[in-house]
Amino acid sequence: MSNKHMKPVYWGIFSAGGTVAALLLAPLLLVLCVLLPFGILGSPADFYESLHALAANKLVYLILAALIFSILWHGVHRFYYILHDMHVHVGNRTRWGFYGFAIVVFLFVLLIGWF
Amino acid sequence: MSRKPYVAKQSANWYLQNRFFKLYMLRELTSVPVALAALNLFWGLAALAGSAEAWAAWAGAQTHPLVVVFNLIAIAAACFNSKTWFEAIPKAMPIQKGETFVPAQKLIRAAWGAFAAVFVLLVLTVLIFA
Repeated sequence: MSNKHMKPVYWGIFSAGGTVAALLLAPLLLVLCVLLPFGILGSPADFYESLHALAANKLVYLILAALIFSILWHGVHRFYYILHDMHVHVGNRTRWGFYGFAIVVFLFVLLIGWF
Repeated sequence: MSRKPYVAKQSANWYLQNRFFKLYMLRELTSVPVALAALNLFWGLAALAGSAEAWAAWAGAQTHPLVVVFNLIAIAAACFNSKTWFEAIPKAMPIQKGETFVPAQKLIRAAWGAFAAVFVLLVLTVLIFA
């Protein structure tokens, strides 16, 4: 498929990811990656006990992984454009390499979570 | 005589030349910690859906000083992304009501309200389940 026809796809995931990141990322990082692991709001072990079954549900897992995937895509897409702005002309192969990386990581995470 | 082609001149360090460009570049650079934070969240999600040992390993890694520093940088980057993203909302999708548009400030405040609601919900979730 030509690059032109793919534009709505990769800009679409970019803006979805940007919105997800803008609304969720800072709260997620602060609460789950800082406050929870240090036991400030509760014990990480209890958190696992209560929410493991929910996160292990295939549909819930897919939705959460898809949200994170959109953030990752948002990041690599923007990074490609910074390289362009900084006059680093990496070309389409690198661009698809970035997108491919995000997709491969997403599929890998689905694989280990589902099976 | 052939015409000289137009070549747009832009110096290699153009984005350091004024505050507006610097802030633009800073905003775009938030993509790096944001993407890395997404990888960290992927790991955490897989661990939560996996074994208790995997979860303990992830939670333990978050308390490593380097990871803490990274997480704090990522939080700052994410907040900057939120600020610029919310301020772009009224420009990207202005909402018309009758003859006029909903004021930009209203949309931006609503977005911050949603952000705060997410934070409160997450804190409550952790307080209840952990």
